[in-house]
This record gives sequence, structure tokens and C-alpha cells, in this order.
Amino acid sequence: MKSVSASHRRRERFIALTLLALFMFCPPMLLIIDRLPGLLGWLPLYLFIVWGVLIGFTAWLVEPPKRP
Amino acid sequence: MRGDLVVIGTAFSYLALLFMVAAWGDRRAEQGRSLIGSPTVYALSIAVYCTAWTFYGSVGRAAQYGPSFLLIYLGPTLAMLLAPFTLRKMVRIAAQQRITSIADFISARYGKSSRLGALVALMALITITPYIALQLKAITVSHAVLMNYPLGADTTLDNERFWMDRSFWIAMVLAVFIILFGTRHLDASERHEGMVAAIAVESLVKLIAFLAVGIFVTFILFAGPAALLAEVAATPALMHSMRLENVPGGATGWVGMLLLAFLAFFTLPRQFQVLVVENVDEQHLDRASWLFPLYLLLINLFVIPIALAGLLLGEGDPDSFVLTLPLSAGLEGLPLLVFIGGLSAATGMVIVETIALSTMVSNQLMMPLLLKVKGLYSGRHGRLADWLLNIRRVAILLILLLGYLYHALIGDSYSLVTIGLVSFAGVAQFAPALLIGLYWRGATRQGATLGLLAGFFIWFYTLLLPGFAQSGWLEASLITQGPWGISWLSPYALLGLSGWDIYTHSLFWSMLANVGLLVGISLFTRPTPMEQTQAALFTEAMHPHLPTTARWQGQTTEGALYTLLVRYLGHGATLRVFTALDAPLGDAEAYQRPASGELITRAEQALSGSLGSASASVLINSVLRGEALDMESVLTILDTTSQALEYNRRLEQKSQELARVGEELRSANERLREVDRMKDEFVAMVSHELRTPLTSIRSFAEILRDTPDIEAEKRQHFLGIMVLESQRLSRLIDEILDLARLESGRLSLKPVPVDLALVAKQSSEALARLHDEQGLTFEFIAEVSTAMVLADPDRLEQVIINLLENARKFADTQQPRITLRIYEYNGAFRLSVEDNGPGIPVAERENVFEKFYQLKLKESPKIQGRPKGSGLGLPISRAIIHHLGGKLWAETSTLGGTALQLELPRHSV
Repeated sequence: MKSVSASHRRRERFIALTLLALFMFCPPMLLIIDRLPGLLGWLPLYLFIVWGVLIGFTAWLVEPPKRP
Repeated sequence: MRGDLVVIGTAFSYLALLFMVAAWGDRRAEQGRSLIGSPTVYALSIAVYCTAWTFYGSVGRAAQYGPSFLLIYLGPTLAMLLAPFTLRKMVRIAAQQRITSIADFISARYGKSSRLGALVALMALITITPYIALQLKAITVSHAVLMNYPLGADTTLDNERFWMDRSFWIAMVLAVFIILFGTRHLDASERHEGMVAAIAVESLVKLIAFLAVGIFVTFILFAGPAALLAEVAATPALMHSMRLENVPGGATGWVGMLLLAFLAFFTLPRQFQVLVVENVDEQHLDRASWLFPLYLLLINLFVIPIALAGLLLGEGDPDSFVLTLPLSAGLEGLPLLVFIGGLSAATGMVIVETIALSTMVSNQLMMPLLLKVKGLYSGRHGRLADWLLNIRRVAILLILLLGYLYHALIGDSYSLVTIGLVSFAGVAQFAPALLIGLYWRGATRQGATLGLLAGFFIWFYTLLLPGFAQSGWLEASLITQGPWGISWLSPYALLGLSGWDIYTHSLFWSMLANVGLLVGISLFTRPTPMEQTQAALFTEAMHPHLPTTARWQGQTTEGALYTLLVRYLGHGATLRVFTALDAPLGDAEAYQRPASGELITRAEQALSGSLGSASASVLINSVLRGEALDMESVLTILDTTSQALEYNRRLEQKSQELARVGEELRSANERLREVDRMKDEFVAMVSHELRTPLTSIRSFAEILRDTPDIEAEKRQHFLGIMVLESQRLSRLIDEILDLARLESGRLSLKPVPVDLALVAKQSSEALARLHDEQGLTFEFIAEVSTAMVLADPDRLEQVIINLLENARKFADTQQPRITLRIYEYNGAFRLSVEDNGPGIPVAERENVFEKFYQLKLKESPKIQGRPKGSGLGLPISRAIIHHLGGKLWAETSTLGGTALQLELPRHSV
């Protein structure tokens, strides 16, 4: 029972992460970042940072904790 | 320095290295020590996604359209986030059904339909050939740039014959490579170990090459990103280059492109090949779900700096910036490394894509045709296994030639990214049939076929055809005014929908038609039993109790199956199928034995892995008599198991609840039993205690009755004992009654303000005579003069006397000592009675307050021969003190024995 609910929880976290990614990569958020004042625009930097954070989260979700 | 020989030599040496890696990988696999059974290699092999288009084209796209190039990689990142839901399911289905390609997958899902498989294979061929051409073009162009710099790449290309074209020869070398390492086994569902190893190496090479040029441009050509950005900021023309306004179609185009890349990632034949067919372990998806996006991030990290640097320095065609920038700095080695990186990216893609396509061509296009020719499969002449491999080899050669031809004929009219995106939009048409079919059991073959056809047609009309028009093959007015001047049919603005970028526009219309027809037609068509079964097996793939395949109902002999398998798979593979099931062949008897259902299933799986599911199904049917498949049973099994699962889940909930209630009941029962036991014990003890004095009274009375002439002195003595025993009896009964009243709460205490010290004084004086008789040293210490508490004075005296009596019984026999002390503690008054007896072990301290409890200190000689109490004194005392709102407990005395402590709250007037 325990392992089933754990894998359920993992799936829920993945869904949440995907929705978060969609939100971060899509228009309302995108337009907000694009319109930030700045000489060259913040969009590329923003995308790379969000991307990196997402990758970090995914790795944290899937990689089992290291046992000594 | 940069001689043609050096470049060509390096390129072919690199290809030779790939051959060695692949050969090594295959050898290790044969030895059973797979090189690639690791999630990291799996993730690297997925990076075949990054083709020459990424390597050269990303910079080109960034230079032209700003950050939109990133969408091609954010789409797959999203797709990998969904890997636990989609890819895992696809991998499991592919393993269960021995799927060989995406065409096979879609065909198998819709009832192992040969026609649907052929349609998908054909569409893949049409959409992917330009993409292969694009890779060959990238090799040619990058070579030309390398050779001709600082002249443009185009100067010499036009004059070359094909035998002078390096990409032609590279295509041929690749053909040899793919034939050697891609067609080793007939079973296409098996992993191509050597090839995957080579692809993983290529992924590393292209990443290193790109990072090298990125670091060079950012940190050596310019003094770091800040310096680069400062120069860009000083160039007004570049100020807005990385903003959304530069993205074609703006926000709509952005979302469209994200969706396009997301869908294409699932449906590109090479991605399906590495993600699903070449996967050996579902668990590898876990690592890949972050490692592959990380790879994408790294390979894109320097795209913007390179693009900006190229634009700043004005280095010609943006698609070639990665080469021209190091060349402009006069470097020799780095451009060569970049060229090799680009070559890796291009060859990796060509290798995997060609294998995937050739499998589709042989299994989905050629096999069904061959099966139509009666003599070929019913006749007795064998060796079709070799035939099939040869078909695949010829297909590989033809696909590469086709790609080359496309590149040579029309490749020049498109920039790299354009061809790539057109291909993306083409293969994205497979997505509805694939993804919807994965979750919706109701999707039917007719719906999928019509959806695919409509989507494909719209893609062709809105992207490919205008592409031809732009190349000058068709009139440009087709785009500007629409065909025959009908403006609402204009390919880039269908129904007047304009203002979107061409890919989003095409994706929107094609997906609308595709999904619309798939869903709409499915709702109004009835699937065949085979379709129903397959649909159930696909949608329920993650079901833990899934029957692996349909059950075969028809009859055949082992001999017939054996002959069939030998003809198509050869002796080795056939023997593996039979020995795996312990069905040894060899004698004539075995030939006539009816084949078990499991053997038929295994035979079909083996055929599926080599020929595709549709052909395998046809072949198995050809040797079966009677109704072939027990369709109903699979559906019933699936439905009942899912129902059973639901019941199970509910049952489990119920039983958990029951278990909890049961546990509660059990503990309540336990408590009741304990109480019952205590009551029994109590009754037994009371009877025992009452019987002792009664027995003695009775026996003395009998003596007196039976011996009337007893001496007067003796009679007096006996009567004295009888009186004492009667007194003891009535005291005992009083105590029992007290206790019963106390426990039932019927004892009425009349608390009045009383001085504890005074009551203690009186009580000890009452016992003074007894103490003197025993030679006992009694000490009375009152630390407070008055100690007013609220208590019933008689009962309080009873308690204190009881404590003193208790202490007297247990004090030392030689030099008995008792101390009574009254003092104030934390706003309450305490009375302690201490003795110098043997004391009570810590574990027993609470027990002395139990009814009839007698200390079992038999080993202690000091205790023996003591006058025994009723065992009710302390319990009664504690109950009384509790009633009065105080506490009574035992401690260790400073005198060495026991200290019984009584505490009552102070009564303030």
C-alpha cells in the first residue's frame, strides 16, 4: 500500500511540475518578462534560469536519495 | 594548412572511429556485457534529437528570430516531464508487442492494420527525406565554408558534380555503416547495441565541439559575456534581437512552436527509435527525464552569444557562424573540431533515421505486398529471412540516395531551419493517432486513417507546396493570391487566417482536421474485435494484471508453426522460440502435436519483432484452422480485472476499517477481561481472608462443644482467641465494605477544616503503648505548627493509623524506628511515615496499593513471621485520600526503609 501511494504522489508531483513549466514558458508570464525594462530584454536569461530550475527539480524527483 | 586532404582525412577517420565503437559495442553485447545498459547512455542516445539543424541552424535562427530557437528544445523538455505517463507506457507496450517502429506502433494500436501501417510509413518517408537531405546539405555547406573561407560557401557548390560532392560519399559511407550495424538481426525490436553506442559517442562529440566554440567566442573573441553584451547594447540594430517581437507570430507563434516541438519529439521516427524501440529498461526513463533536458540546455547555452557575436562581426550567413567565427580569428584546429561536431550531429541523425525508415519500408510497405504474392509465403522455398534483411539493406541505400537527390535538386532553396520545421510539422500529424490512441479506447482505425490523411494533406498544402513555390517550382502567385486567384485558399492564410507564422498556421489547421476527424469518425464507427482487443491492450498497458496478448483459439500443429518460423526467421531464431518453451522438435511425432496457445503467442511475437505486427498476424492466421483469436476473452479479462481491481481497492479499504474496528474491540475486550479477572481475584482473596479467622473460630468452638470437661483456663484461652478472631473478622468485613463503598463512590465523607498536625499527634499517641511494648523508637517532627486541611477527621485518623501500623509491621526487628514528619511543600501539606525496614523495591511500589497485595519478600528473613495485614489498608487509605483531593504514594526513606507520603492541599480560611 505504501509504495503505491508513494508512486501516486510522484506522479502528482510530475503533473504539477509540468503545469508549472507550461505556465512559466507560456504567454502571460512570457509577456510580463518580455516587457521588463532593460537594454536587451530579459527573456533569454529568464528562459534559461527557469529551464535549469525545472531540470533540477526533475532530477530531485526521480533520483533516489544517495545512501552512504 | 587547411588542406582538403586534412579535412577529408579527419572526417573519414572520425567515421572509422564510429565503426570501431559500433563494432566494439556489438562484440560486447554478444559477450553479454552490454556497453549501453546504462541510463546515461540512453539519455545520450536520445540526444540524437540535436541534429546539424541544432548545431548550425540554432545560431542561424537565433540571429534571425531571437529566442524562438529555444522552443525546439523546451518542447522536448516538457515531453520528458511527462515521461512517467506517456513514454513509459509506450515503452511497455513496445516491449509487450515487440514493436519495431512508429508505423508499427500505430498499425498495432488500430487492430494491426497493414494499410494504416503502410500509410504512416509512406508519410514518414515523405516528411523525413527532406530532413535527411538537410543533414547532407549541412555537411556539404560546412565543408565548403571550411574550404573556401573567407569566400562564400556557394561559389563552388554549383559547379560540382556529385562524385566531387563530399556529402555524396559520406552518405555512401553511412549506408555501409547502417547496413553493417543496423541490419545485424532481422528482429528489429531488438536493440542495435553497436549503433546506440556510436550515437552516444556522437552526442558527446557534438556537445563538446559546440561548447568549445561557444567558450571561444564568448571568452576569447570577446572578453566574457558582459563585454559581448556591452557591445551589443551599443549597436542599436541588435537592441531588440532577443525580444519576443522578433519571434515570428509573436506570442501565438511562440505557443505554436512549443506545441510543435512537443509533439514532434514523440513522433519523429528517430526519436521513437531511440526512446522506445532501443529502450532496454523502463527505469532508464527516470534518469533521461532530467539528463536529456540538461544536455539540451548545455548545447543551447552559447547559441545566443555566438549569434550576437556573428551579427556584430558581420560574418556572412548566420547558419555558418559557428564555423566562420573561429575561422575569422585565424584558428586552424577549432574549425576542424566544429566541422567534426557538425558531422557527428548530421551522421547521428542520418543513421538512426535511416534505420527507422528502412524498418518501416521493409515491414510496413514491402512485407504486406510480399504477403499478397501467394507463392512467396505459402510455397515451400525458404530463406525469406535473408530476403527481408536484403530488402532492408536496399531500403537503406535508397533512402540515403533519395535524401541526397532531394538535397542536390531542391535543397538549396531552403535554409536549414525551414526544412527542419516543415518536417516537424509533418511528423506531428502522427501525434493524435499515437497519443489519443494511447489513452482513449474508443479511437478506431477509420478515425485514425482519415485524421492522418486530412492532417497530412493540410500539412502538404500549407507548408510543402508553398515551399515549392518559394523555390520557384510553382508560381509565386499561389502564395500571394491563392490558387486560381481564390484568396481564401491561399496556403499561408487559409480562410483568411493571417498574421500567424506559417508553422503555427499549418499546425492549427492540420491538427484541427486531424484530431477532429479522429474523434468524430471514431464516435460513429464500430471497431473490429481485433481493434477492440488491441485498443484495450494499449490503453490498459500499465494495468498490473494485463494479459500480454490476445489468446489464440485456432488449432495448428507445432510442425506448421516451425515451418513458418524457419521460413521467415531462419533456424536460429526459430529454435530460440521453441526451446524457450521447452517444446523440442526433432521427431515426426512432435510435428503433429497440436501447438499450445503460448507457443502460438511466442511465435507471433517473434514474427512481430521481425516483420511488424500486421504481417505477423496475417502469417499466424495463415496456419491456423478455426477461429483465430479469442477476442472476447481478452476484453473480458481486461474488463473483469479492472473491475476486480476496483473491488479490490474498495475491499482493501473496508478491510482496513474492519481491522481498525477489530483492534479497538480487541483492546476493549482485553480491558473487560482484565477487570473480570481482577474481580474474580478479589472475590477469591476475600473468601480466603474471611475463611482464615472463621476456620479458627469454628475449630475452637467445636473443641469447646465436644469436650465439655475442658479446663477452665484453657476454655478461657480458647474463648479469648475466638473473640480476637471475631474482631478481626468484623474489622475485615468493615474494611471490605469501606472499600466497596469507596470504589462505588457511595462512601460519604464529611470534610471539615482540620489540623493535620493535631490529628497526626492524636493518632501517634493512640499507638504509643504499642510502640513502647515493641521497644520502637518513634519520632514526631512537625515542621509547621498548624497544618489546616479539609478532611473528614475520623477517616484521616484511620489513614494515619494505618500508615503507622504499616510502618510498625515493616520496621527493623532489632531496632525498630519510625519517624512521622509533617511539613509544607509547594503550597500543600505533607505527612510522611518512614521506617527503617527492608523497604519496597521500586517495581513493587505501586503494587502495595493493590487490594490484598502482600509483599513477596520471602527471601528476606526480616520479613518472615511478621503479623500479616489484610492487604486492604493501603488501598483503602489511598482511596480515602483521593476522595479528599490528595495523594498517597511510597518512596525510599532516609532511614533505609519505606517512606509513605501523604499530601493534602492546604485549606486557606
